[in-house]
Amino acid sequence: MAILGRQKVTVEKVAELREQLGLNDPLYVQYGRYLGKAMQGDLGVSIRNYQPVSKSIGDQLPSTVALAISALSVALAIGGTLGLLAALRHGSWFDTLIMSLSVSGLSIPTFWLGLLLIILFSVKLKLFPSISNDSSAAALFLPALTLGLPEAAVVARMVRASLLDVLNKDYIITARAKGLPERLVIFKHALRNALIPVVTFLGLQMAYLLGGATIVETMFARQGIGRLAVQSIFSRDYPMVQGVVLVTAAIYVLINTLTDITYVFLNPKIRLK
Amino acid sequence: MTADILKQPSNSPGVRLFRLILRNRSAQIGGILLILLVFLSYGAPLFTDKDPNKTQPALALKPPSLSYPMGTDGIGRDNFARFLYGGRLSLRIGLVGITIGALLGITFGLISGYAGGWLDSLISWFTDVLMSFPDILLALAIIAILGPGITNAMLAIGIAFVPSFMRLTRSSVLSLREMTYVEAARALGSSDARILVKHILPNSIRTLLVLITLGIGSSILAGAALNFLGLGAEPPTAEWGAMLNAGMKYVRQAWWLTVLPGAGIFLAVLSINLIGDAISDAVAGTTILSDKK
Repeated sequence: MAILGRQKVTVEKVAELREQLGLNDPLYVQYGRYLGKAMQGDLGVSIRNYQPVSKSIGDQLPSTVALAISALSVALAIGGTLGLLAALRHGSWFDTLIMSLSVSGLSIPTFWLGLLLIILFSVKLKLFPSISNDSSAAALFLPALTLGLPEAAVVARMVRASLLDVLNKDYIITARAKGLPERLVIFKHALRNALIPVVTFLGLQMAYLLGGATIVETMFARQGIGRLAVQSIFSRDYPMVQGVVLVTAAIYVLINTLTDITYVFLNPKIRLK
Repeated sequence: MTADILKQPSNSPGVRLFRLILRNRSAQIGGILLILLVFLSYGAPLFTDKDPNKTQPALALKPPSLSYPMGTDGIGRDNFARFLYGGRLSLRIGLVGITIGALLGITFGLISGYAGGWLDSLISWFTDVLMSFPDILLALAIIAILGPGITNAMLAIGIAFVPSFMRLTRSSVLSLREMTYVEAARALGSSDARILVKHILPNSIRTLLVLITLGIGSSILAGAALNFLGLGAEPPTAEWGAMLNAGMKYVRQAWWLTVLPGAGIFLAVLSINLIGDAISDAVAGTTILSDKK
C-alpha cells in the first residue's frame, strides 16, 4: 500500500486503493478475476513502474529465448561431439577423461563457471565483454557458454550411453557384416537411432534452461525474464513475480508437451502402439 | 576362530551395499574430499584464529600471502577465515534443504502410494503443479512469498525437492504394496502405519538413497545460487555463494575473492556426486546380485 500510494499514506487513501484494486473482495473472487484476465493476456500492472506485466515480460522474453537457444547449441555441439568420441573409444583413456570431465561439469556452479570465463576471456584475454546487453554474437558468447557447458556434460553422457547401447544392437552387427564402411555404420545407422533419446532430452533441457537463465542473466547484467524475476523479488513487485512465474511455467509445460509429441514422431514404435 | 567369523562375509544387504560402495574408486576420492571439507569447515578454529567478520579497511584486497592464505576482501576481512566458516553454512543449507525435501516428499509418497483413491489424486495433482516449475524458479517464487533469508532459502530448496522424492517413493510403494510379505503382514493384523514404516519404507530406501545423495549436491548448489543472487544469507554472514557475489565487484582486481569460494562449492558438490555415482552403481550391482539369488 505504501509502495502504491507513493505519497504520505492516509487511512482514506488506503481504503480508496483497496477498493480500486479489489482487495475488499473475497480471495476466491480476486483469484478468479486474476485467472480470467490472465486468460486474455492481462497479467496485471507492475506496482513499481505501472507498466503492464505482460508487456514487460514480452519485452524481455526474446533475450532469454536467444540465450537458451545459444546455450542449447553449445551443449549439443560440445557435448554431442565429446559423447560420440568417448563412445567410439570406449574404455580408452580418452573415454575416462571425458567421463571425469562430465562429472565435474555436473558439479560446477553456473555462477562460478561464468566468473572463471569472465576472468579468462574478458579480464585476461580481453576477447569478449563481461557485461552483455545486446544480442550480438560476441555479447552472447560468454553467457551461452556459461549456461551451455554444464548441459554439455549431461549431453556427452547421454550420447555416449545411448550410442554404446545402439552399437551392440543386431542391425549394427548386420551392417558391419555386410561390409559397410565404419563411417556409414556410425553416422547412418548408429548415430541416427542413438540421437532419439537425446533429442527428447534436449527438449526438456530447453525448458530447464529458460529457468536456469536467471543466474546467468543476473551475472552478465543481461536483459531477460530471469533477471526480471530476481529484480521484482527485491523490489517486492508481486504482480511482476507472479507474471514471470506463470509465463515460465506455461512455457515449461508447453515445451514438455511438444517434446512428448516429437518423441512419437521420432519413434515409430510408440506411434504404432 | 574369532578371526574366521570376522572374515566371513556378512549376508546383510546393507553391509554388502556398504562394502561395494567402499570399494569404489569414485566413492573413495569423493569421501576423502568431503571429509576434508567438513573437517576444514567445522574445525575452522584449529586452522585460523582470525574473526571472519572483522573488517580492516587498511588491509583491503591483499593478495594471498603467508599471513592471509586466501587474501583479504574489499573491506579487509580475512578471506581464509570466511572460506572456512562460510563452508559450514553452505554445507548446512544443502543438508537441511534436502532433509526437508526428503522428509516431506517421502511421507507424501508413502501416503499417496499406499492410500490410493482421492488422497493419491490430490497429492499427485499437487506435486504435478510443483513439477511444472523449473526448480530454481520454484525456489525463487517461494522466497518471493516468504521473503529472503537463510531459513527461507532452506525451506524453498526443500519444497523444490518434494516432487522428486514424492514421485520416486510413490512408484516404489505402488509395486511394494502388492508384495506377498506385505500381504502377509496385513493378514497378521499389522496396522497400515506399521506396514509402511516396517516393511515398505526399508525396501524403498535403496532407490531413495541415490536420490538423497545426489540431492545433497544439488541442494548445496541451489543454496549457493540463492545466496549468490542475494536471497539467502544477510551480510556480514560468510557463505560461499554470498562471498562469490560480494567478490564479483572485484573480479578484475582480486581473483581470489571469486575463484576460491567457488572452488569450495565445486569440490563439495563434486565429492557428493562422486559418492552418489558409486552408490548408484552399488545399488544396481546388489540388485543384480539379489536377483540372481
